[in-house]
Amino acid sequence: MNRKMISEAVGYIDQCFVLEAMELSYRERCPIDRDDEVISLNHRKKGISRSGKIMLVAAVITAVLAMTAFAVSVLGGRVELAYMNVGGQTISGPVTITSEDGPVKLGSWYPEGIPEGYEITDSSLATDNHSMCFENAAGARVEFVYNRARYVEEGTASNEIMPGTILFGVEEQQWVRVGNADGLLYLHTNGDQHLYWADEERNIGFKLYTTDPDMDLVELALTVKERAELFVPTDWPLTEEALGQIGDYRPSVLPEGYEFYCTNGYPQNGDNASGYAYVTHSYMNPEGNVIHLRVENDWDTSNSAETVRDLYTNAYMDDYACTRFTLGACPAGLVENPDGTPHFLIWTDGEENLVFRLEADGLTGEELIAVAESVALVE
Amino acid sequence: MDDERIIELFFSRSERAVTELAIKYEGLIRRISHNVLRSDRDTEECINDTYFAVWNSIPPQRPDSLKAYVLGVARNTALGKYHKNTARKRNSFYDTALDELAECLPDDKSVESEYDARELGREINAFLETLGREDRVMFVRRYWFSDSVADIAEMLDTRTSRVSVRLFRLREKLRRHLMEKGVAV
Repeated sequence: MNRKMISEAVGYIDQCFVLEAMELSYRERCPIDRDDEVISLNHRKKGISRSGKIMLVAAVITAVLAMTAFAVSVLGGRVELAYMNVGGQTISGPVTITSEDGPVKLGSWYPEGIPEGYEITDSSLATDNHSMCFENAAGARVEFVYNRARYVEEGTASNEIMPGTILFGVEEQQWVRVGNADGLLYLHTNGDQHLYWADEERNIGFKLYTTDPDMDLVELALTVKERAELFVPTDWPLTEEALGQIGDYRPSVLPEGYEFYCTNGYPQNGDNASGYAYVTHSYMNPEGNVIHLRVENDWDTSNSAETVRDLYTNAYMDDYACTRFTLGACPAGLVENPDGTPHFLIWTDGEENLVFRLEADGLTGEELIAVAESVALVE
Repeated sequence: MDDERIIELFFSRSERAVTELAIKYEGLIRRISHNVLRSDRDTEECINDTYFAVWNSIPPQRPDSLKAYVLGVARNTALGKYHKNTARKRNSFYDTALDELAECLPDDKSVESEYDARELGREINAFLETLGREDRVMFVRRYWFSDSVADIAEMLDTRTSRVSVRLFRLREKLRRHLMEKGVAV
């Protein structure tokens, strides 16, 4: 039996066995290969007495006033025209799609003209995507999303574009104007509507979606205004729970210009299919560059490509160099991109059963290590 | 975000669906992908391909376990890329695991089909049900997740040699199980 057949047969292993194997926990380890050359760095621990929520709101205001943003692009190229999606078919019109790599400022936007009776039921906040969902008593829904602008190339089939850009059941598409921007309005056979437009200057793409066929989405789009404050996402209680489980670890040293932006997390509990809790703190500078500090508990079940053991062995690294060292008493590794720029820094705390991952664009290895050294539990 | 909510986002074709999926499961997807591909670049491509595949399949799929579904998609995506790469570059880690299993699986030289693989998969599941939890986990971690023997030993807080021996005995046990079921070996 050839390898392909074997791998196919193994693929039929029941899901329950796969999930059972996921529950297996590593024993806590903090291995140090004493034959390796290690560079010991001081790991200063400092306590900062503030509540996580107050920090979130205060830092969000600061970040917004700093007028920067960041988003990760899936496509590369030059921004040219309005943000839009393609719905299972090629589209026509004088449009070109690409989006640029690099930071993008999102700011804080809100559809001020949301009709009476609609309440926010869900919202989420990340450095590259903000979204909110409204519903009324009749069950009609409005969704407002903004992120890095994406553009459609004339003649591009929808399946050539990454997820989030495929619409089904489109009956009609209309070119519309949203203030000074071109937009595309999709009318679906079931009465749903999608409207896409972009702020080209800020490279932000906006989307409004509704299940109400009678709602004038263009009118609603015209009421979208920028606010001074970032909203607190509806899943903040889950993030708080994760913070309670993991502890609130934050850096006290950041490169110049970086301010706190947002926190996301998910707790570990009986219903949590992930099997571990995580918290990610994000920081942003005026240019829109971002630093992410992610902390996970039960670290043995997280990304194997980032376990210290893999960092030590370098067995899997084809194109990425890894420098091993210790951060205080913790095994650590600085992984570099093929061009030599830092990719991410990871270290584990065996005593607390935690793994830390620090990722940032545009920072040197020394800057990353300086941030990592300052990470401590906030009292 | 809980899995039910993420699935609803997929059904409503919300762009947040992939974002939330990534926040929750990228670590696991990365692990599965890398275990098979052993290349960071291929792993990154596989992760993106996995998100795309999940987006295209939900709906109409509504998995009972989003986690298991996503892991399955990730594994299949990684294997697809692995088989493409095989002609160009040998992945010794994954090949070794497959070669181990080949020793106890049917060596039928006749036409191989998906039906045969499915039947064999059913027998492997029946075999796994006869095992104790630790043995079953060891087998699944080695041959489904493609974890190294060293990784599994660390998981179980035991020696690498013990895991190697145990896996050898499990393969022997599988071979006997298949013979009893009339599967040619």
